[in-house]
Amino acid sequence: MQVYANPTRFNALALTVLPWCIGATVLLFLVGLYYSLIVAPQDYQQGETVRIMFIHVPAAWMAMATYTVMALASAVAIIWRHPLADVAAKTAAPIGACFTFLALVTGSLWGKPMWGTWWVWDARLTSVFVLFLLYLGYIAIWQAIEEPTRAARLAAIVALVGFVNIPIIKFSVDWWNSLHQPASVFRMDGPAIHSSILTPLLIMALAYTMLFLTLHLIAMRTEIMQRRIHNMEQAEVQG
Amino acid sequence: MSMFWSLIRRDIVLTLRQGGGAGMALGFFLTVLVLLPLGIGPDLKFLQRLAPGALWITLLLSVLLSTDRIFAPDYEDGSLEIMTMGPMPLELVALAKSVAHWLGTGLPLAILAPGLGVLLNLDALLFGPILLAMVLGSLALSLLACLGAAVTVGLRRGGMIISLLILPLYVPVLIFGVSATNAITGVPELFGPSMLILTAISLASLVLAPIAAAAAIRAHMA
Amino acid sequence: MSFTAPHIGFVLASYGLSALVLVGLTVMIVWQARATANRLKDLEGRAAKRRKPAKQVEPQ
Repeated sequence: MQVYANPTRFNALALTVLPWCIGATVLLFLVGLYYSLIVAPQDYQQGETVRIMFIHVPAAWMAMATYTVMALASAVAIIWRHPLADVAAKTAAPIGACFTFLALVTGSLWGKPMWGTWWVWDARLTSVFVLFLLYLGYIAIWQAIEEPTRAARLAAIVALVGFVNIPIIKFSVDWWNSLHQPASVFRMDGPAIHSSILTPLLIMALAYTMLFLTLHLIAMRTEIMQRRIHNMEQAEVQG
Repeated sequence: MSMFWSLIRRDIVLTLRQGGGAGMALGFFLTVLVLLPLGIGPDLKFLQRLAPGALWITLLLSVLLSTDRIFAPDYEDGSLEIMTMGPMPLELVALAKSVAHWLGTGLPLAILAPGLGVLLNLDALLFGPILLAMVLGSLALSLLACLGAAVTVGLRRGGMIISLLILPLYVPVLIFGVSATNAITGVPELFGPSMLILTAISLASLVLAPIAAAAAIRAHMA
Repeated sequence: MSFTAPHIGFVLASYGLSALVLVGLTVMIVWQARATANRLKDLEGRAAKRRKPAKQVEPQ
């Protein structure tokens, strides 16, 4: 682990891995979209709209997974002061925010034909909305504080507090939802999952994961380069 | 230990002296309570349904409004830095400030809420539950507000970020607070569990929020 | 997939928007990477040039 603490080493590693990541991402998306749009049959209840699940659920999974990556990186940053940890956390946030946004919007577009309204305050959408706010708050901290080390520590604290809070929020929103929902609960994942639905879902989930990995690696390299640039600009001014 | 209490006393005195604490929050509270029916309509039955949630939300916003004064004055005149280096652990400093904020702002509002709820035609049966729930819940609100203030101390546009940071943290307090308040007229069995969870949230915040707040202050002072 | 099924618009809108956002995100990240790499190359070039004059004024 300490080996990769060196940014140059990390850059070299990233460059080797990146082509494979890009290739895997493209391949998985091609196969996944083929399965989602052509192979998967219509649902007898939802018709074609069940296909939205293949891009809504992976987006939601990635929204959660990315925040977990951010929280883990933040913990490493605070506890071990690993130099790349806050780079990892900082660069994951915008990507996670996009996934969360997509989860919300595709959820809404799925909800309109299913339940008749654009927005439904069901437990899942509500929790994802709050997750979106957590992402925005985290990104705002990085932008509000100029001094990079200070920004990194405060952002890490914010990420960890948010992470601890997520299960509590999920629990409370489920509670709230059970108080107000009628007996017939709408289930976001539709009918029982059988293989014709499961396969496209898993392939798309993998595709989204590989996309995250690829984009994250590129973004981390960029951030490392930007820090080098910052240092060099300082040296130029002083030298 | 006496340092702890004297810090609380000092903060409360400052709040009272400046008149900005409970007074400003109360003013805000009243304003919102007047605006709500004006915006929604005077239908008493409808207002009654709305009352518990509206009162809780107004409490949240009022507490949020007063967060900038938790650390800002000390940060500006340098006493925050002195507190960082002093004999009392920074976590206790944060705890003391949270408690002072609660005693000066959150608790008074919580106590006044049932009475003010009359403006929204709050069901009399709910006076007791809302008082109890708000007294317990406002402690969590002040602790979390202090955490938000610690993270954003000294930032130019700290006020906007604080809302974004703290409101997600307030969601569970709001949900369980309203659930406990409404239980009697809704599902009575839920009163116990809601109050217990609300208390648990306050107790957990009592321990965790000052630790995180102290870490944030250290990050600012470093 | 049948293009005449009811609510097909929602399906197309979902896939379209997801493609837009994800491609947009990718473009932005890659563009930033390229711009940063170029800026770094510039700076490194300038840093190298600053070192050269020191060699040229070496005593004959």
